[in-house]
Order: sequence, then C-alpha cells, then structure tokens
Amino acid sequence: MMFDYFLSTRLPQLESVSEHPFVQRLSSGNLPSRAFTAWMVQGLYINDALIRFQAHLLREAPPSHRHILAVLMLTLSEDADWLEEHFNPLHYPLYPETERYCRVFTDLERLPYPLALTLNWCFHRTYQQLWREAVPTNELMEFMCERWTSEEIQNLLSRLDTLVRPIWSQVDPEDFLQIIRQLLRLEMGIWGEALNAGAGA
Amino acid sequence: MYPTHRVQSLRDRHLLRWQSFAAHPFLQRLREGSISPVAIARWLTQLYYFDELMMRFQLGILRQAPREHRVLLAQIVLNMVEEMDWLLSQGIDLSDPPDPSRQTYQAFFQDLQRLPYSHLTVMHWATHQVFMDALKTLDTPDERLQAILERWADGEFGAILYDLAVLADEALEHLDLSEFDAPLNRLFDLEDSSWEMALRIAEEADQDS
Repeated sequence: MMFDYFLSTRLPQLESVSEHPFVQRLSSGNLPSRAFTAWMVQGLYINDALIRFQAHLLREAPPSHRHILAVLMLTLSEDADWLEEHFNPLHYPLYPETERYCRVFTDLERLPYPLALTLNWCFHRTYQQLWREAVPTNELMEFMCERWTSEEIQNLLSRLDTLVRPIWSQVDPEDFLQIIRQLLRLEMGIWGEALNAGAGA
Repeated sequence: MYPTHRVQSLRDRHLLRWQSFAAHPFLQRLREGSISPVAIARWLTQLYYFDELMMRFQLGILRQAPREHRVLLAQIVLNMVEEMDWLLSQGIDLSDPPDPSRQTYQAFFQDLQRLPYSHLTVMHWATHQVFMDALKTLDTPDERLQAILERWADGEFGAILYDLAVLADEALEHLDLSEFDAPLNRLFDLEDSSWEMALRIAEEADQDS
C-alpha cells in the first residue's frame, strides 16, 4: 500500500516538504537563478556520492536488476558531465548539509539490498517529481527540466518501479520512512542555504 | 592498431606472451569447428562467471574514478551487463558451478584494487585487450561465438575499448612500464589457466559423446 502511495503522490508528504519555500518558488517560476545554481553545485557533490552508491547497488543486485541499474548509473554520470560543464563548484562552498547528505549515502551501503534499492527508487522518484512540477526561469533550468521529464527518464524510472514493487514486502516501512525523513530534512537544509545564496544576489 | 604509443610499448614489452593465446589448442579447435555445441555452452557459462567478476572489478574502479572518466566506465559496465543478459538469453546453465580458475581471477581483481587508480586503468585496459586480441583471431562457424565477436570487435564497444586504451595511455605517461611486469605476468598466467579450462571442457565433452 505504501508503495502505491509513494508512486502516486506528488512529493512525499513528509516533513512538510511541499510547503518549503524552495519548492514553492521552483514550482511557481520564481526561483532565483543564483539559488538554482547554488543547488546544482551541491547536486554535483551529491552526484559523486550517488554514483558510488549506484555502483554498490549494482554489485549487490540480482541479474534481473542489473540492466536498469547500469542505465541509471550511466544517466547520472552523464548528468555530472553536464553539471560540471555549466557550474563551477569553486564559486560555491560545500554546505555542511550536503556533506552530511553524502555521508548518508555511504551509510546506506550497510543496509540490506531491498531497503537500499527502495530508498534509491524513492530518491529518484522524488527528484523527478521536483522537475515535473518546476517552472523554469532560465535555460539551464529548462534543460534539467526537459531531461528529467523526458520519456527516456520516465521509462527508466518506470522500469525501476517494477524492480521495487515485488521486493517492497521485504522492507520495514519504519526503517524506510526514517531514512527518507532524514534525507528530506538534509535536502531542505540545502534548499534553505541555496535560497540564501539566491537572496544575496 | 593502437591509438597511442605508450600502450603499444607496453604490449610490445610483453609481446610473446600477449600473442601466445591465439595459438592455444582450444582456439585452434574453435577455428576448425571441432568443439561440440555442448562444450561451447559450458564454456559460455564460465565466461558469464568471468563477466560477473570483471563487472565487480569495473564498479570498484568507477567508484574511485574522477568525474571525467565515469561516463566511459559506466558505458563499459552497461556493456558487460548486456553481455551477461545475452548469455543468459542463450540458455547457459548456472547450475554448472564456477571453475576454480574463476576464484583465482577473483583474487587477482581483489589484489589489483589495492593499486593506485592510474595502475587500475592500465590493467583494466590490458585485461580486455589480451582477451580481445586472442578472440579476434577467431573465424568460427558457431553462431553464438560470432555474435560475441561482433559485439566486442565492432561498432559501439569497439569505440568504447578505444577510449579505454586512450585513458590507459594517459595513465602510462607518468609510470614506468616495468611496474606492470608482475601484474601482467599474473594476468597471462590466468589467461593460460582459463584457456586450459576451456580445453578441458571440450575434451570432457568429447569423451561423453
């Protein structure tokens, strides 16, 4: 049941994430460019941690899961190339929340595969949902929006759904929710910092 | 044949052993078409187990790789996954256990992981290239093997391997070729034992028929 809830919901209705000013601004076409840039730079660091996590999952995955995870890993690697081309990490500090966020992904490697995969799925679903609701205010934002709402990524995430659905019963919902809440709180911390950077323009 | 001179020099330094596998009796019998389909299927199962080890090795490299190398490494991993999926679609029998030579490869890859990233890049390239150099001398009537050969030698994966050779070449710029003598000799020993295993599988099938 909870799987369908996360599948159908806009953003997870946890930690009041939808009410966060960053999400409100992103979805109403009012996100300052500097805030977007600051967020993307943090995304570059998070991408590093995410790719390491994808490689870990792929080592643990049963044969029938490998292809989808390998395509996802390639997609994220391509994202990093694009981010690095357009955003200079040297212009923005690494936020403490970003550092902690990355550390959470390292900790996730200790979890059983079904839980780790389910978290990976929820993370990407949520990220995609943010872009589906976004109203871009500059070209770079438009690019990310188009990429993450593209049919290609939509299909990839639908394939990821099919991996998670049968193993959902092996996941303790409490463990799952606890980590999702932790990630959302850190993400909101990053959003807050990014908005501050935007306000400083 | 090779994109730049440093990987070529490394190969030349070990040319005798590097080229020796093409003349292995198993490959000669494959060229003659004198290996039974059953034996080829069993060999492909062992190739699947090798691919699994290789993929894990590659994922370890990818976790250390700088951002600019990751797309290429992710493409290589995806290709290995596709090859494994293809082998599974050919009905290989995973109830056939991995040959002990696979465990020796596993230990080799684990030891390599302790090397610095630049060394890993060179050994990653060498492991693919040694196998490829032997395989591409084949002209085999077996359709499954033809499909594998086409996959590795032509088109997209050929281009990916070329890019990997370029990375290896860059890595060699600040390294002494002699640093690779020991790991390459170990790789050659493993390749020897791997082709010996293949021959043993073929001979066992001969006796069974």
